[in-house]
Amino acid sequence: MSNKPFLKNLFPLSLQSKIVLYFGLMFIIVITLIEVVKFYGVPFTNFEGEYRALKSEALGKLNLVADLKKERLQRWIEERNDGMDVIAQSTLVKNSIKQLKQIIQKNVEQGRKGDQLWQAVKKEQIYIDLRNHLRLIKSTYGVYNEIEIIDRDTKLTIATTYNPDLGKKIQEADVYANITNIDDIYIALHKDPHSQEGKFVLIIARLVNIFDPVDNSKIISAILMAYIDPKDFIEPLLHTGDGLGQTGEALLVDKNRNILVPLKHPLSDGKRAMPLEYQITAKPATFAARGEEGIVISKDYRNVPVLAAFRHICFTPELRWGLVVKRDLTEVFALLHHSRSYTIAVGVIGILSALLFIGLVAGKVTSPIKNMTDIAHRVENDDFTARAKITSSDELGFLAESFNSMIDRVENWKKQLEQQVYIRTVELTEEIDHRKLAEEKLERTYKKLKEQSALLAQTEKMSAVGTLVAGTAHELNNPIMGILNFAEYCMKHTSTEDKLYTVMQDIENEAKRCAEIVRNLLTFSHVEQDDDNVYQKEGLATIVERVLKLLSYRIEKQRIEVVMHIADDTPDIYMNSNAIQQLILNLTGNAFDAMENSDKKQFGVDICRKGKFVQITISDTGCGIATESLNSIFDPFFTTKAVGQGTGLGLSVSQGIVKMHEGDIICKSEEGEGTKFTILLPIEKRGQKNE
Amino acid sequence: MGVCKPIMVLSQKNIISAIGILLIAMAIAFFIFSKDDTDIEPLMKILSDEPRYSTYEFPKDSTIIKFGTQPLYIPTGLISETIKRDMILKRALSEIGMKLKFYPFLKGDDINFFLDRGHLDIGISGDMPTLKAAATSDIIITNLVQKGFTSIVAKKFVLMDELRRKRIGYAFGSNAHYSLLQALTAVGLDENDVHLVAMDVYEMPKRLNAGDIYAFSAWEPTPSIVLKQQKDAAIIHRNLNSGYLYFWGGFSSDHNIATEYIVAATIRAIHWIQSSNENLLAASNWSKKASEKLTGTNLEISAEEIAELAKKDILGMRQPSHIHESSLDKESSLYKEFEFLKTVGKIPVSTDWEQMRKSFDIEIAKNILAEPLKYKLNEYDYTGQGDQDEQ
Repeated sequence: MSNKPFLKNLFPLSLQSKIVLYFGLMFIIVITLIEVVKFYGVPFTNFEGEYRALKSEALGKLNLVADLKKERLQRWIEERNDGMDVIAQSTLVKNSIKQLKQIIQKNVEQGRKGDQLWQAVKKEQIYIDLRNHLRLIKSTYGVYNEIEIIDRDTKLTIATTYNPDLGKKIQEADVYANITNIDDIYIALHKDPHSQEGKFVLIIARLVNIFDPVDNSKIISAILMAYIDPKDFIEPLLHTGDGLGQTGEALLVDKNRNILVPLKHPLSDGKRAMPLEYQITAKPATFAARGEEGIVISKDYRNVPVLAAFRHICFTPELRWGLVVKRDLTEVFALLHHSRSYTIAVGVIGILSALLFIGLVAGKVTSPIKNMTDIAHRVENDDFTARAKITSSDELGFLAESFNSMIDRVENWKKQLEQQVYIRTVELTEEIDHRKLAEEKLERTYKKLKEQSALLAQTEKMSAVGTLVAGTAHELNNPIMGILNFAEYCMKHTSTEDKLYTVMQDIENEAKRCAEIVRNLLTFSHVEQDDDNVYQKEGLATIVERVLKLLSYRIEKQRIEVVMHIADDTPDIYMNSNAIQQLILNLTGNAFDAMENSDKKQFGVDICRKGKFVQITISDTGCGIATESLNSIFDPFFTTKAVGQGTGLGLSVSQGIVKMHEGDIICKSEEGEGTKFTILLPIEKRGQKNE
Repeated sequence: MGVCKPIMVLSQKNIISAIGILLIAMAIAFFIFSKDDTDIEPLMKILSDEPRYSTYEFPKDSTIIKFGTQPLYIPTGLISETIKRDMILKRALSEIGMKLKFYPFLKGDDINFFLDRGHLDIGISGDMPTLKAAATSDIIITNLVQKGFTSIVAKKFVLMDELRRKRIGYAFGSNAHYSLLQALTAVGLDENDVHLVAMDVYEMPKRLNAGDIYAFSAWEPTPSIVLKQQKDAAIIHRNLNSGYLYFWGGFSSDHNIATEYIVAATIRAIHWIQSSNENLLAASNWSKKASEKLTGTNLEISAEEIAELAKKDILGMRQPSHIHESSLDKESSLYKEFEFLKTVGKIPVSTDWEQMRKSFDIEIAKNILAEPLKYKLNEYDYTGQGDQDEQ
């Protein structure tokens, strides 16, 4: 199970990826920080940033526009006031008013009233002069629609540039309330009394005080009124000049927040607001009307967010207007947003470019390392032909060089090690072989020793048995010879028709059998006492033929088919002929015995050369030997024949003869099929076969 | 490495923890130790410690009319300094066995403090201290002596709502104090959203420059001084205020002739100042000197600049002096200010506007204006030595 953390397992990162990630992140953070600081400034320091600077600039611009418009409006009103002052203080006007009042008084005293009165006044030269003077002022200044003089006492128009007004009472009642002193100024917007279209007009009024010529303490007061079309002057004052952009607007309200000029945009319900009829409730206008000045982000009368600079224009402590200069917030901060978008875009492009560059650099830096990693894998997989490319003369180049050098050394060490291993392996193999041989030899020696021990034990046993047998045989030989002799004597001296002769014959046969047994015993014991001097070179075939001749009567009697095959290149062997004859005799006799009751009676002899040995195979088609008896057939006194039929020594003696010759005997048998004895006898003299 | 690695890991953790604790401690220290003088009653503190006021002697002699002035308050400083030199007034008062003594103060609330205790007979103040005095004392308000703006000046041009959590200097109980509260309310802030720092008006430029405060609210010439000194400073809000001449009720009723003479002298002074630029400049010079004498420091503004500021105020207006009846209506800004001051606890909530209106004598000035010859409104003699009659 891997010991790496879960995430590392989930997202394994190459060195190149890590470099891109770490440096990329660092770069992103740095760039972002720089852009943020550049745009938003550093808090708690004097560095404001672009956002703050642009915002300040936008606020400052609008502020400046508002100040300019206020100043221009104030100046215009002051100029109008000054103009009215000049007119009001004019001696001509004062004297004319004084005289006109006297004329009117005289006409009234004469009973004239209404139209009759004013028709008469119109004809008076003083009226004509005053009217012409007023018309001259009107045309000279060019700002007044009409100029009128009102008798403060009667409230009737006594002189006017608009003839229909002569003798009429003015409708603007608040003029009287506000014009009581010489210093009083009246400026207000009213519906134009001279217009049928419902237009608005600005009325400026001043008090004209004339001392009574008779009673100097008495003052004759008249009100000088001028009508000015706001469209001609105020509206252009508000709406000219740059700094307001597409959505900008300047609006004017009185102290009760009633608009004094038409609004640029319709209201939120689509209607158009008319001066003096619509009261703005938006914050900027409210602040301006109540005497405050400043700049605020708020919603205007359309409910649209705006940046609004509001100003208070105070002509007199009581005559005050509010001025609002506003622009839609979207337009004001369009540059700001554009700048911000630009900053973000530049930042993003910068970051992407940096990431690309970092990726390229990382690739360039990590490429040699990757190459070395591949080389290392190849070396790991025993490919020592691999070498790192040296593509630079910097640390990575030195690393590649050292890496290659290291591979060379490792390769050399490997080769040396392999060689040493090989040498050592060979040595060890040889040693092992030697040891194996030694072990084999030891084993053989051990086996031999064991065999020898067994043989020795057997030999000792056999020797003991042989000695016993020999002793017994010698002891028995004499009485048996005696019996034989006596039997032969008796037979010689007995008629063959005599029953005794048959008995004597049986005695002779039995005695001969005993003698054979004794002879066999002696032979058995003599095997253990072999002598090299009796060995001579003779052919096995000769021995076999001799034996077959000896047993010819049995062959004939039992009708045994003899098949003999002798290879041409079979050499003579060094043997003890008598012993070998005994051997062949025993085996052949056993074979004939085994085929006693067989249907097929075939006796086979095969003689051939087997290397340093001659092999003789004696086979029969007899009853075979039981498998469980096969291991014991060479044991002395082991027999499968009935009692009295065999001594059990034949095969034991045969084995002894074969061993004596340093050969080997093997028995293969199958019950009911037959038996095959294979004997290997060395060609050379015993002790010489390995030379 | 087996021994070093745990040590290195421990140190890193310790460093990070230490930095975190340090930052938290700094933040806590900042909030705990940031100055906030709003809990201290500045008036009592100032008056108990103010050395200049403590030297003032207020004679019990009823023939000496004690007039509290504000040299630092444009344009009233020009008016009061002109009155100080008015020989016509002096002669007229002398004829009725009285004389004037002038006491300069830093702000209207200070004047009211002494007026309330009977140490002064006349005061000149902005609308807020005048309304407060009218609500709590027996005064008669006779005429208008100022109609101009108090300004909120900030270190740089910001919107009003950006004053949140900022330190703002103000003169407690003054017009400028009211303007500040009103301006904050207009943008949805209140006193708790900012750090109000009470101070004298002449300290504000220095403290703004030093970074002790972010903004201040004051009357002229302080805003103009700052705009001249700091190029980045800007006026972010202005409020139209008025200033009044008022008499202690007892004095007015006992000495109505003297009251008329003094009201006339005020109107005359205004007329004289308005009549020529030379007069305006002379009055500005007198005002500047008086301010510098009061504060003990040079006023960082020239007489010409004071003159320009005065022209933007009542001295540049026509129809200046008398109080219009409409200004006492419930639609008027004065009434709105009265209601505002009640809501912010500067005036007792139980104060009735009708009762307040009775403090305003709108006829006295009108009557004087109606008799210019009698009151010599257009005769001028300002050859008096102003400092002879000054405390």
